[in-house]
Amino acid sequence: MSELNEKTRKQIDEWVAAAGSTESLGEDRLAELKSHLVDSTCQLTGLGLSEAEAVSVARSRMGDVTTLANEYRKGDSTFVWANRVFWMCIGYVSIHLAQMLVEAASMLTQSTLNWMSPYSTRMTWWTMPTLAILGWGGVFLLLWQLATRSSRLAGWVNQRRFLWLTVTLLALVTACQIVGQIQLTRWLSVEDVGRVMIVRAHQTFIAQIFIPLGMVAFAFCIRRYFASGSTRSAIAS
Amino acid sequence: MIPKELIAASTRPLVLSVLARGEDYGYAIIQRVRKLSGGELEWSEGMLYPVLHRLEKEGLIQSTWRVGDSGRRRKYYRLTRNGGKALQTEKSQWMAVHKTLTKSWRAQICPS
Repeated sequence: MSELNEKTRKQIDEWVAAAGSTESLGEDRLAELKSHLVDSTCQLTGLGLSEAEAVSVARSRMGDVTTLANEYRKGDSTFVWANRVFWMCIGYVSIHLAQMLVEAASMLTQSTLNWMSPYSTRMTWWTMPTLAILGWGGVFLLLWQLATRSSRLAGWVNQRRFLWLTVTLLALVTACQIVGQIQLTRWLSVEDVGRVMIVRAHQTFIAQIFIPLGMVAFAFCIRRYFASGSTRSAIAS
Repeated sequence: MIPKELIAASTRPLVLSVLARGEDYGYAIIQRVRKLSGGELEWSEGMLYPVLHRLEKEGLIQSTWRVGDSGRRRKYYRLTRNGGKALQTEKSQWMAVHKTLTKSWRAQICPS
């Protein structure tokens, strides 16, 4: 760097220091990037640019530091796994949120039906499963509609595995609802069913609010620690 | 202008091909690719280094810090034996694509 003046060297050092402080690039990588900046600046000054212009162009050609750090991390297996765990957690939370919405909608519909016609709509073994199927179907249709309007979501939803995942989830949820409901209606009186529903609602509240929140916090901690971001084709300027 | 996806896909074989000629450092690799492509392939310069890092992790290239002819300390990369094999595979794959496209375009120009 001896052929560059003090100010230019300081500017290069500043870029390297900023890159080092914001992103955990490591000394070896930073030294290599600094060497690149010096080479680039020297070549540009050789082409007739002033040192101030040359260092500015060299820095801009280097690209965004965060994108650069993300590209480095793509080769890091710990980061790759952290990213996978993050999306697993997001998936888990999304399913729970959808399930909460469906259950809330089912309960609302059922209580409305009871209020409108208290004698004819007593809870039967098929009430909750039917409402669950309708609710899940609604969630699926909503997602499908959203997907057709968003190309980014479409890429993900249009995959066959999404369809199979949804069908499997629907089947599982419906089976659980049927089994649970048969047990409740067969072994307990209607009054007991009401009490059990309250207990189950409390359990659901705890499980579906606090566990997902904890998982989200955990996932964000992982993602924050290893940083993140998808930067496909970052090399192309 | 060449699309980003195509540039990104060609980075790996290009880096391996440049290093097959002899060891070199990051900045020189970029310059060589720019020259070979007649300025058509424009890389975001910093992004070459993560690619080099990945190739090194895969054992296709090796790096060493040393002082070059200019008296400046640089990180030099050279192809490993596995890198040579990977380059041959890449070559055959790209040649297959190239042949297919050439035949397809020839058929369009001279319909039989």
